[in-house]
Amino acid sequence: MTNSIVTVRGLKKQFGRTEILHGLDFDIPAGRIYGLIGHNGAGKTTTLNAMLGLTSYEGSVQVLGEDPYQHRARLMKDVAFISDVASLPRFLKVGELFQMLSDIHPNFSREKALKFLEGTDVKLGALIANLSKGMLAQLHLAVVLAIDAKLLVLDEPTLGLDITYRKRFYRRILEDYMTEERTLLITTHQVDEIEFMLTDIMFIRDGSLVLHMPMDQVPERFIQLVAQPDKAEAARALKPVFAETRFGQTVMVFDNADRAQLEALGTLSTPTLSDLFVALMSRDTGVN
Amino acid sequence: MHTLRSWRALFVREYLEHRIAFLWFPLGIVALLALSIIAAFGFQRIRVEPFFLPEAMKVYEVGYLALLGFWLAYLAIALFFYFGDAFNADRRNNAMFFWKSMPVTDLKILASKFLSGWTVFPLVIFVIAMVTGLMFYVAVTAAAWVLPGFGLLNPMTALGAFVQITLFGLIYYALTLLWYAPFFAWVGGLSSVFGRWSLPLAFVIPGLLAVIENISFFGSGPVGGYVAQYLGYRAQFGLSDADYTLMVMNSLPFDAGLFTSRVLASVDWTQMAIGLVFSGAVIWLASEYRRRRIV
Repeated sequence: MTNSIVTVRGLKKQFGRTEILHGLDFDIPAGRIYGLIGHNGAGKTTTLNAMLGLTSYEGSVQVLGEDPYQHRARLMKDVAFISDVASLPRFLKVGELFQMLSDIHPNFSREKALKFLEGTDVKLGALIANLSKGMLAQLHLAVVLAIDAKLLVLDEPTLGLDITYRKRFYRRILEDYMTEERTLLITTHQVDEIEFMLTDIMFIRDGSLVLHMPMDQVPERFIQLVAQPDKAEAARALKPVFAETRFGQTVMVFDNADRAQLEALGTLSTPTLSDLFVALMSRDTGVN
Repeated sequence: MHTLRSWRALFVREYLEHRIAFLWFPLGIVALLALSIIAAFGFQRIRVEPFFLPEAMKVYEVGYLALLGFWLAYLAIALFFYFGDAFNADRRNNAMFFWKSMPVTDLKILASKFLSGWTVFPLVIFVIAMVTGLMFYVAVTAAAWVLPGFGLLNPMTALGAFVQITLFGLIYYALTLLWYAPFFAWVGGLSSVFGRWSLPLAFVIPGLLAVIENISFFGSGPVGGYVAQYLGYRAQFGLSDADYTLMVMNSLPFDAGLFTSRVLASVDWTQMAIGLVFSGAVIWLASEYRRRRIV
């Protein structure tokens, strides 16, 4: 794709003798909201770290036309990220942090950051070490939103936050960050909470991409069937990618199946992201 | 312009992170000194043996020089602990993620840490040393009122001595920091890999090298071996004992030019240059190591 802001080809990463990533290939165009979803240890964070220049790798990674590992500092003028752990320097006060960022980061706006903090309990004179988990998340979000970044990467940004904070967090990103030129890449385990905002999904399993597609194509490709009891076997014969029994009902997920054929076997719907995740990420891949 | 602001921000960040060791604690010592001087006069505990009553000016000169020496020793200890942690400090509390999200190279961050330890903190300590020099002037003047025969300090002459000693002290501090830069870089470089274990390792590693050398080439080199001899030479810096004796015993006013020329003459400039190149190399290697680390 010509307007890709991220281009990854043959991305591999080894820790010792263990290969964590097995040659990933993908592009991320501008203006999209990507969800990178996978189990613990699937390679999500390693993939993000490679894209952010935080770790070495084999293969080719280009972010905004730069090799992130060679030019991380230059890249960070246009890329912002929040990692899965609280990382703001604890010895600073909030006001000192903003002053420092104004001096260090050419694309940081102190005024914007102050605006984003309005209505929160985070005060400029507060020591970062004394902020609660929720306040830290609000502060870090205000910091990254105040950076005029073309790519925002969020690695489990709401880990440990309660549902109110999580919902506010994602709403704020949609309202205050996203434009046509900006791109957002999120990893999280709470897939249901971000499903509404995603434009594209990537499922990663054991270091390989098992799914990469726009969200609006999911209903065309995947069908969930709640089979009539007497037609379950007939449905199984059509080779669903996943099947399970829930409350006495047989639920199956089909990939590129004939919709007309399935309609005769039960009730059809589009699987939710979490259903699709469970269906495609089961380690034995096929029918359970 | 932005580059300058970025450097300033990194220096300010180091200052904010370490101000307790380099500002608040020294100010606490100053407050304690002030309190003890006030208490000494308040409780009339000033006593000088009748057979030893030096000139007030000489007392002031030697006292101020001693204070500069005390603060230099404090600086050396504080810098040792600073370098034993600073290069590794960002790994605490996952702060490395934050710093890696900034448009600043690892080399620039480590260089700012080294330069802070080499310029900002010594300057802070030196200013505090100057303040204690002025406090000591007040103390000696007050003592002149209390002790008959001690002699009054002429303010203009005292100011001249203060300026002379301060100038000499500034040059001496600068040269000392230049001379010992490789040692601090060594501690800092080790700390980026081993954290606070760098403090003992800074001595243990050269010690082991010296032992290995002695075991391998016992008897064929100089006493103690080449490593120990070189490190022993590198550990020496400053004026000779004769110079210090002259400082104290000389009845003439302190002459910054004289003692500066003596200390400059004692410097091995080749070793100084080698040390600075070594420091630069260590900082670069440490930055390359840091570039490969996230936590």
